[in-house]
Amino acid sequence: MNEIRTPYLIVGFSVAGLWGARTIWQKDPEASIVAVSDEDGFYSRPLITYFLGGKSQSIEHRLKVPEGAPFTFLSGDRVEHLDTQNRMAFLRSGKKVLFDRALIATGGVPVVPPIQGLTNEGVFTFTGRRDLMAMQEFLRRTNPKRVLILGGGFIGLKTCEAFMHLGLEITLVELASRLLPLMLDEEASRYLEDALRKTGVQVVLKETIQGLEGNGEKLTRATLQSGAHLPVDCAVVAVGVRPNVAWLSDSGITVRRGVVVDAFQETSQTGIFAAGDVAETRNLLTGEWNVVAIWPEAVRQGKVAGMNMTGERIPYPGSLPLNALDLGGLALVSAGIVNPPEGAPFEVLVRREKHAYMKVVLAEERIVGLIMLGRIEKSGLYIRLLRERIPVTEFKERLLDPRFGLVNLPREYRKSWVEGVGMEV
Amino acid sequence: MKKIRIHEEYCIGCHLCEITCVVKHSPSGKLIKTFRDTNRPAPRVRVEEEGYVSFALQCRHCDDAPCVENCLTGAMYRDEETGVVLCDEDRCVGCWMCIMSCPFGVAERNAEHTHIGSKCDGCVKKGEVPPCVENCPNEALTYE
Amino acid sequence: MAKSLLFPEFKIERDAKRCIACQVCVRQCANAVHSYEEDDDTLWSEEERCVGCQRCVTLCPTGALEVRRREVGFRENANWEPAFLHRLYKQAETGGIVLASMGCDRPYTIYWDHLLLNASQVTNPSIDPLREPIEIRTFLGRKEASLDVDWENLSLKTKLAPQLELSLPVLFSAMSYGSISYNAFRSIVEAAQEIGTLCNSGEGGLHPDFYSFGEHIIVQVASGRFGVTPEYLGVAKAIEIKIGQGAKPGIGGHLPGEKVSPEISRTRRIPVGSDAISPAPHHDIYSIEDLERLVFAIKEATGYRKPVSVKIAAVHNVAAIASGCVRAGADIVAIDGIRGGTGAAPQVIRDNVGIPIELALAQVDERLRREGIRHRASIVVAGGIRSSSDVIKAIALGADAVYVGTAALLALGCHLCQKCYTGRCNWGIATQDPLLTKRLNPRIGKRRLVNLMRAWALEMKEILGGMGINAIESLRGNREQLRAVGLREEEARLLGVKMAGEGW
Repeated sequence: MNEIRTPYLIVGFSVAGLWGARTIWQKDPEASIVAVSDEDGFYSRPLITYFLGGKSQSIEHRLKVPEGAPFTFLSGDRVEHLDTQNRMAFLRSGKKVLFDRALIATGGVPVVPPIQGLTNEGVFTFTGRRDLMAMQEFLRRTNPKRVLILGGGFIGLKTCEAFMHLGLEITLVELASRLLPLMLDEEASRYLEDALRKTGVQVVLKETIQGLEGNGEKLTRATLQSGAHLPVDCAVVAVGVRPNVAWLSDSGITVRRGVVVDAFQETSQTGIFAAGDVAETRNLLTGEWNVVAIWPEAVRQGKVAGMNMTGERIPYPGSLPLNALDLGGLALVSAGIVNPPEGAPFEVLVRREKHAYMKVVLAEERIVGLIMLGRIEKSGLYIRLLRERIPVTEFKERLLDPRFGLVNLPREYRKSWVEGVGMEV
Repeated sequence: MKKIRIHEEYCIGCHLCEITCVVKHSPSGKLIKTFRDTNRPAPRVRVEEEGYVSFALQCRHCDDAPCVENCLTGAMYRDEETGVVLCDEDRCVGCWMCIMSCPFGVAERNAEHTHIGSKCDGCVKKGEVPPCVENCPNEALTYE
Repeated sequence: MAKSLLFPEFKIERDAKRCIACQVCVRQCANAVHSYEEDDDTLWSEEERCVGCQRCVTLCPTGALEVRRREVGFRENANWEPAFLHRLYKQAETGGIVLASMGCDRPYTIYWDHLLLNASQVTNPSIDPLREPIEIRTFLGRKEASLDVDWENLSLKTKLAPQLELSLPVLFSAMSYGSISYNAFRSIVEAAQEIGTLCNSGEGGLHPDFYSFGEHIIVQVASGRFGVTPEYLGVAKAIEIKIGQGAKPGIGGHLPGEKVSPEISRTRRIPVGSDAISPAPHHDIYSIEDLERLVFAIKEATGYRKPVSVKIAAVHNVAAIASGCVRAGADIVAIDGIRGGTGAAPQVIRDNVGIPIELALAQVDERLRREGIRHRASIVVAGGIRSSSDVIKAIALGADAVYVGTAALLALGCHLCQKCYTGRCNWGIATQDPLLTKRLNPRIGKRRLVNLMRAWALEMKEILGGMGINAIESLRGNREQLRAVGLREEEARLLGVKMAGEGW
């Protein structure tokens, strides 16, 4: 069947795509949805590092397409050209999909810097199932001892966490002067670096790889910018991801870093929406357009897109960068603006304990940024205060107290939050 | 689905709810025996106190639970029949997305900080009343 | 500093096998008696501060605690009982008046316990309350000597004075908001509404939150005139002029400034933090004629739509005083005996001034009948009514209804530790401390009061049915249903009751 007609087309079927579909079906359980994905099915991408490290037994997620839903899944395929005028998607397999509304949820692709020797065996990016399978096969076959991870950002560190569980010697190379430069401040970065070093990971900052060399059979060493050589038998390039938008270059849809969407997750083409790692949305705090490639955003954006695709007009309040990590025995949560410029309107509150560091950034008496290192309980409460723009003046002195909780908030908030449960998007 | 309602005006800060919760989730189910055991489970309800305000807070089993939505593995899930949000600790990998997502700050790590521990699991069968509600001496928790 | 000679009054025993160091006792003691030692995970109790309220004992989940009277090791002395020694030492140390709360606890004769009730047998058979209705509904107010009926139209020509209708002959006694907590007051007011009786605001005014319950509230006009506004008189069902109370006849009242919170200030209409002093006499009542003037001033102000009650303490001349009150226009005379409770009073007054209500009641009833004015006012008695049998006996002696104060507080959780005057009532009743008042959940309090009254109503019906009486009116003043046991002839005569063993 080469031509398919459908009211709803979803391109890419990871978190944003699946939640878009679920939301559409919540409103209209009879709505026919066609999804195109170059994967075989839905799975949890972030789990690949946990699976590699042995902390998880599978990368499957409990979430599924509801039983009996009117769903056509075109797996192992991809959209090569999107004709937005005529509302047609042309697939690599030769199929054609005619749609009324579409959701672009193709996620991100790894950023690969121009390094020599990337084609050597033993060099990987690590963002999906195929990477995982290739890596696992390589590990089984060659039993490497020394791995180099390029990238001290979120993905690099997650990958590092996986290898720590495998017992390999790890060298982590980061271009910036500190780890997680966007998620942490200077002080927190130092604590994290110390914790990593204590576990035996070699952390090399202000460096990058110039080239990778092999002996014809496998990878043998890496050369750093400084000229130093490192013997390695496995390398992972994990400097970051960027939105998967190359295939949209001739679609007419406005693309900057990602697919630009408005407050309703709609692209520059009416009826075509985007959500998740591929989308460029308005930042909740700064008001600027940015790509926030994290799971909670993909869920929220997918839901909003799904609702608006069925004719609702629900605006999205804005994207909030946040993330959680557990590395070298140190748990950490980061959200919002954590490296504010000096002076007004920002106020910075810091609390240091023996094994914990906490920082709250305020602007005009409202929380705009949070770092919690070591002790992360209640972080969700602070993030809620951030999202709902609750002024903190009344309880500022208690804000960083380890026992801060719902009880410290003014009664009206407590009562309304606890009387009715659940959250609205 | 019946939910636990919190009446902070009548909470006397005695912490008996925490004690009863521990006993309910202990292997023996007996009060004194459980408390002799230094490895007893952590309570899944916590009393928050400030001045003369206090109340017992446990998982609210939200309808659109953000912890369920943001869980990387599906360890946090909602039992469709009972409406209770549960954590399958075997499936949990300790990514802490739920802690970051819970708007009430209820999700906690377990003692070893390896995965989520001690989240209210709506411990009773249909028709029964949770022991924290039953044993609150001042009816500061009601089940409705 | 010289060492205090006072021993702790109570002994705390903690069973180590049962104690799980859960610290509920630590958290629940308003006197900070129990404490927890973190470093060795043990509990310690500071017995000196214990007042014997039994809260920790009640809440301990394993029943590990026992709080008992401490046996002091003085040599036996029938004259110098330990209580006297304790108070004397206290006065030697402080030079002050020893305060006490609740009612007189001295072992004076309790006449209720010397009165026995009748039951029917053979002739005049008893009635089964499960099968036949038994009327315990009571109307308080002035009754007419005779009724003028228009027989043609079957209507009443005589204008009836306003009445209070009670579903049973029990009302809740005057306990002011200030002496008891908001939650306690709410429990009582809501219970009164559900049961179908009334409660009394006491001399502390009425909090606006309770205006909607006005149909079930008697408001008091006491010597301090706290909270007396047109609205106050307007929402109430009846107004009571408080001349005295059984626990402290002849002296006034005093609510310390520390207990006058913004809410109390608003209710009593006095500045926050200022002492609330009720002078001993009303400074505008120095004769019975003055009382009559006030009674009628109130009746005028309320359009003669509400009964006016006068509350007096039971003192030696109570019968004459009561007669005067009736002649002064009171629709109800409330008499409070020596066992009546209070939030705070000097112990010497509480325990030594006034007379038992049983004797006062019998004499008042007899005198009013003799003077032919018994119908002009209802008599309500108070002061240590403990059970439904006490209520029945009171009615048989001549009362129309009874007020219960201590009994109501016991239903709410009071354990009679008699330390109300400290303001640290562990049960959340006689305190304004928000940490402590939380402990009384009005939903639970109301439920317990309603239960108590329901139980008493059922018992009263059983007793009446057993006597072969199906309406409480037939028992009122019916001394023949009572017999005295273990009393001297003089006492029996004063009560107007025959000795047990005597027939009709």
